Amino acid sequence: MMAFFDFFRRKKDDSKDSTKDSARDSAKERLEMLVGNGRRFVYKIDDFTDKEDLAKKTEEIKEKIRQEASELFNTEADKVKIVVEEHNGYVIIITNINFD
Amino acid sequence: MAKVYVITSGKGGVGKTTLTANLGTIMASKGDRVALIDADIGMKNLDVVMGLENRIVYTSMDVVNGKVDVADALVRHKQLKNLSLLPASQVATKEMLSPDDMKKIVSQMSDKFDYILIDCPAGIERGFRNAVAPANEAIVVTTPELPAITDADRVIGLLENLNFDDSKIHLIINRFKPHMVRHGDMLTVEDIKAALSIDIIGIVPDSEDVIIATNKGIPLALMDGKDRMGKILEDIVLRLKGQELPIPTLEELEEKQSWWKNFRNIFRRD
Repeated sequence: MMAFFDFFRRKKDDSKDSTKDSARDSAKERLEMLVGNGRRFVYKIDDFTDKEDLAKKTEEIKEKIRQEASELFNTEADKVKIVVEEHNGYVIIITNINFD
Repeated sequence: MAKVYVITSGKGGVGKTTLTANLGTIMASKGDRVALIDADIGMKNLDVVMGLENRIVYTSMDVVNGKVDVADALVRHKQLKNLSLLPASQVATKEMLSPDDMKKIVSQMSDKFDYILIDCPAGIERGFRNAVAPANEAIVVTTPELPAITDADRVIGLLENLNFDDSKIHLIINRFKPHMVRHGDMLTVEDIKAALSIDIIGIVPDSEDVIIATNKGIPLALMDGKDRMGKILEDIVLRLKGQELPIPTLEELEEKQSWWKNFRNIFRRD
């Protein structure tokens, strides 16, 4: 008989336990710690170096890579595409060689 | 000239692709000329959500390599002829496209459409840069969980660094569960807004209908009997177009359940 009533009885709700913080409260507290003091600031390279000088040197590097790659792979220079990007203070040079 | 939106998030699996498909579908159903661009090269999904996977002949990669024009690569929607998709290649990688390539593609499409929505891949690397480059405004999607919110915060910071003004960044909270907020188990809309400090353009409640719609390859906005979700998405589109509509309250977001469902819940074992 008891088993019959147990079947309908709701499982004890843990959230009613006064010693346990609500999930929202702990999430809010952790969120404030993670993003509370404003967005994580990202420095740009040209904050530290001369913009024009950086652009000039970037073009020089791109040209050198283009020449080297086209000689090495025996392709036309315009089939070598180079993109220089800045990601969080790092310079990333991406080179695509089209063999078509 | 088309208005170009990028739908981004930082974290994967928060519903960017589904929202891109649905917002685009609603815009097109109201008569706007809309193009969707799948920028998730190598991990494309937008064609599947739109049910257009069998119609793809060319991709954005073929456009970049000069094989075809953008117009040849665009796939028209079956029902809405003013809705098109520029698919992404499954075999290429994100590094094979540059932000300049994306800008060129969008500039070729710009005069033929009113709205262009770019579905951004997860992450903040090359795919993100490509997707963001041609956009005028950004829609940041988050779910109400810490990892998604902190990633959204990071993305908003990067967008600001890329000269997006705060007024050009909009937030959508997706998969919101009002009953969990009511029980103190989930962050509230105000908590998320306070943490991210940008305007909320919409709150989309969690819905099983999204899974059904994706499995059928029909955007939720085109499915019959989905008036409630349709209205929520429609209001987001109207807000994007500049209408000032109030953000729904917790009560309004909560789906009204039948008396039988409520009765059953009384006896439900947790």
